[in-house]
Amino acid sequence: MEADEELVKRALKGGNHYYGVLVQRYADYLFGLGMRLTGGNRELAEDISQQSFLKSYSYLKSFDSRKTYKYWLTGIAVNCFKDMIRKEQKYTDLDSGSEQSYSPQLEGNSGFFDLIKPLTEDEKILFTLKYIYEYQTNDIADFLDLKPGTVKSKISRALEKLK
Amino acid sequence: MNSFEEIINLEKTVLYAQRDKELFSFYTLTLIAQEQASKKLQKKLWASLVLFITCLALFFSPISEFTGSLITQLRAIDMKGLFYMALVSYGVSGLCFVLIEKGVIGFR
Repeated sequence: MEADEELVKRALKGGNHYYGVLVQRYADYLFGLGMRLTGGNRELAEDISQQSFLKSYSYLKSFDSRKTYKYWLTGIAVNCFKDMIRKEQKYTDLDSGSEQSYSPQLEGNSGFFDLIKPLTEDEKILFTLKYIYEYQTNDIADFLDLKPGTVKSKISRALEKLK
Repeated sequence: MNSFEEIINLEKTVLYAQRDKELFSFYTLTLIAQEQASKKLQKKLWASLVLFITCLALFFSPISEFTGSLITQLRAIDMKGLFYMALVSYGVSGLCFVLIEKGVIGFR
């Protein structure tokens, strides 16, 4: 199996099919992350993973090989989710008068989704990365462009809410 | 009701899978190719626009004045001297090349 970094190098040289290998390798990982962040919304999770791969391709030149591709991709996916939520909120604000015509299909471990329901979107990201993916506080701070102290206090606030 | 740790541990074991990974990958690569093609087209359009504006500017500018000054400048160049300099510099570099090849002079 070819290393991710090698595939990135080859994709940068113009071999799009090498990027396809990376897409297949991390499709399930990003989809899972998307499912957890969206509380089991399959459509949104698919959108997040696709947007993440598209963004990752357009910024592939700036990939820092000192970190793993998976780590880099996680940061992109998390920020894609944040962007998506921001856009959705904008549309919901505009649409607030009309009735909701679409109800998303929810799948997965409902226990976990019920558990994180009281959390805000930001807290869901922090909680999922910390407790499901077991990322270190510094890594989470790096993904979200926050200070480690801020991450710690936000996580403890989220835990308070869940008690 | 399950405890906090139990729910977390259970969630860690859940594996989420894309419906059709091959199709997903194909579609993503198609979108990438589409984006690349549109960027290329945009670049070509910009280049054509610049070229068009340049041609238009040249067409409307006093062209005889421009060509006149160009010819005057070209006439001012000492062609004989230029040819002599080129001959000498190429000759010296050719000689150096031959000497290096034959090992008469070398770098260690």
